[in-house]
Amino acid sequence: MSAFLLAVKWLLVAFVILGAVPLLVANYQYLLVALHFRRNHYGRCRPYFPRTAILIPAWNEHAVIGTSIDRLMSLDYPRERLRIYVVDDASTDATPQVIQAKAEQYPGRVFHLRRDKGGEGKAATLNHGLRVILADDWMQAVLIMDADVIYEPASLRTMTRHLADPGVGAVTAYIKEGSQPGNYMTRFIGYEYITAQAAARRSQNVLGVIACLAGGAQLHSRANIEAVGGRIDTGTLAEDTVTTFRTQIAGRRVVFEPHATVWAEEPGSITGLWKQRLRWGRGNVQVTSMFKRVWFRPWRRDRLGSVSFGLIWFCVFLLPLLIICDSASLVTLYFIDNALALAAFHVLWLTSVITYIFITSFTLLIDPVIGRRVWRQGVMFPGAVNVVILLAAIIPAPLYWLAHLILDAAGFNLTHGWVRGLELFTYIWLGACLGVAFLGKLAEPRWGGRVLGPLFVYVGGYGPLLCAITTAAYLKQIRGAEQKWDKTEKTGKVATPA
Amino acid sequence: MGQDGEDRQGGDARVTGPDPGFDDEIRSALRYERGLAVKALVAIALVAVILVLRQFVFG
Repeated sequence: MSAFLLAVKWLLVAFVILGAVPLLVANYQYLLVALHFRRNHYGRCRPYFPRTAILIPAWNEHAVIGTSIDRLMSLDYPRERLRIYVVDDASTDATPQVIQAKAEQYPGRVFHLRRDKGGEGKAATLNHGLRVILADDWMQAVLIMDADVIYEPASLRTMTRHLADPGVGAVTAYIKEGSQPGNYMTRFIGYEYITAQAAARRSQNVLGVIACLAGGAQLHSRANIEAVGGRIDTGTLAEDTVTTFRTQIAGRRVVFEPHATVWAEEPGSITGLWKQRLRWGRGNVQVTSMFKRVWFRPWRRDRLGSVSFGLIWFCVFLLPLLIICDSASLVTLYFIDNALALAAFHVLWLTSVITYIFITSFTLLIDPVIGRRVWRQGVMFPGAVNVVILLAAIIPAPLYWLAHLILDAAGFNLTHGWVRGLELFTYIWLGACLGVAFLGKLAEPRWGGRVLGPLFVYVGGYGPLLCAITTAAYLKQIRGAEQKWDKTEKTGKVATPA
Repeated sequence: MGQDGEDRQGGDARVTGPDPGFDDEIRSALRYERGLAVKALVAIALVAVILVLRQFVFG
C-alpha cells in the first residue's frame, strides 16, 4: 500500500472521529449542569426591586399586546417601581389604539412611544425606546422583552435579585414554548428549549459565561446599558448575542435564572422556523466574525475566551459541516477500506448512543413538566431513521432477528450484499438526513404538505433540520444576501399551563 | 439603610424591599439544582445499564 493511500485513509478516519467531538462536548456541557447546585449566583442574590422600565417593541401586535400589558401589570413586583414603554414600530393594524387604551387605563405606568417610520428591525425599535428611557434618571433597570411573551408572576423579582450584585450587568430567564394548542413543531421546539436553555444556560452559568441573553427576557442594570453604549447593535441579525458579548467584555457578568419562567409562542410550521432560525444562524456567523479576537484566549478577563466556551460555541457553529464531513469521509473509506470504515463508524456510533441516551433522558428530567408533553419529540429528535440506526447499536441481536423475520416474510434473504448496502446507506444517511429534513420545508406549502412536511421532519429529524437551516445561513451569508428582519408571526395563542 | 430602604453598596443604590419569600425561594431553587445532580446520576446509570445489557444480553 502506498504511503499516500495510507495517509488518506487515516486522514479520513480522523475526520470521522472529529465528528464525535460535538457529541463529547454536548456530554461535557450536560455534566456541567449537574454542578450548577455548587456554582451559581444565588449566594450573591438579595431582595432587590430596582425601578424597572419594561421595554416592548411592537409591530402589528394588536392580537397580543393588550393581554401582555395586563399580565405585566399583575406581576408580583412593587407597582410604583414598574413602568411599561411600548415602542410601536409604525404598526398598520390596531396596535396604536390598543396601546393608547392601556396607557389611559394605567396612567403614568404605561407609555406609548410611536415611530412614524418603521421596518428598520427590532434593534432600531428598541433604541428608540432606550433613548426615551435613558433621558431621565427614573430607570434603574430595563427589561427588554417581546410583545407576546408571558411572564410568570414571580419571574421579574427572581431576576432582579441578581442585580443586587453590582458585578452583574444582565440577567436572562428560561423561555418555554407555550403555544396552546401546540403541534408537532412547537413540541419539537419545546424539547429543544429544554436543551438550549434550561440545560445549556445552566452549564454556561457554571462556566461563568453566557452565550446569549434570550431576546424575550433580558434584564439589564442601567449601568450596563450605559456601558454598552446605551443602544442595541443594529448592524447584525443577532443583536441579543452582541449585547451579551459586549456586557461581558465590559467586565460585567451575565446570569441565567432558570427559575424565572417566561412563556413564548414559537413557530408552528417549518417555514416559520426556517425564517426565524435563518436569521439566528446568519446572526451567529456575523457574531463569530465580529468577535474574532475573543475566541480561545483563556487569558482574557471575561470568560468568553475560555477553551470550554470556545469549544461549545464552535461545536454548534460547525456542526453541519462536521456532519457532512463525517458522511463524506465514511463513504470514501467504504470504497477504499471497508473494514476501517466500519471500525471508525463504530467509534462514532458508540459515542452517539451514549450521547443520545444520556442527553435525552437527562433533558426530560431537567424539566419534567415540559418533558411529559414533548418526550415523543425528544425521542424522535435525531429522526426516525437515525433512531433505528441507534437502536441497531443498542440491541443488535433482536433487531437483526426482526430484520430477518420481515425480509423472510417478504421473500428476501439478508445476504452479505444487503448488509454491505445497508452499511453504505447508513454512511450516506448521516449527511443525507439534512437534505431529507429540508424536503419538509419544500413540501410544506405544497399539496399534501400538511402531511408530508411533518413526515419529512420525523424521518429526517428535527436536529438535522436545524443543521440544514444553519447550512442555508452559511450560504446566504457567504453570498452576501440581503439582510432582512423577518419577524416571527405571533397569533396570541401562547398560554401558561393550567 | 435609608427610610425607603435605599442601601448603598459601593456607591450603587440598591433598594432592598420586603420580600418575605426570598429565603424560601432561594432554598427551593438550590434544592431543585441539587436534584438535577441526582438526575444526572440517574441518566448516567441508565447509560451504564443499557451498555451492560447491550454487551451481555442484546449483543
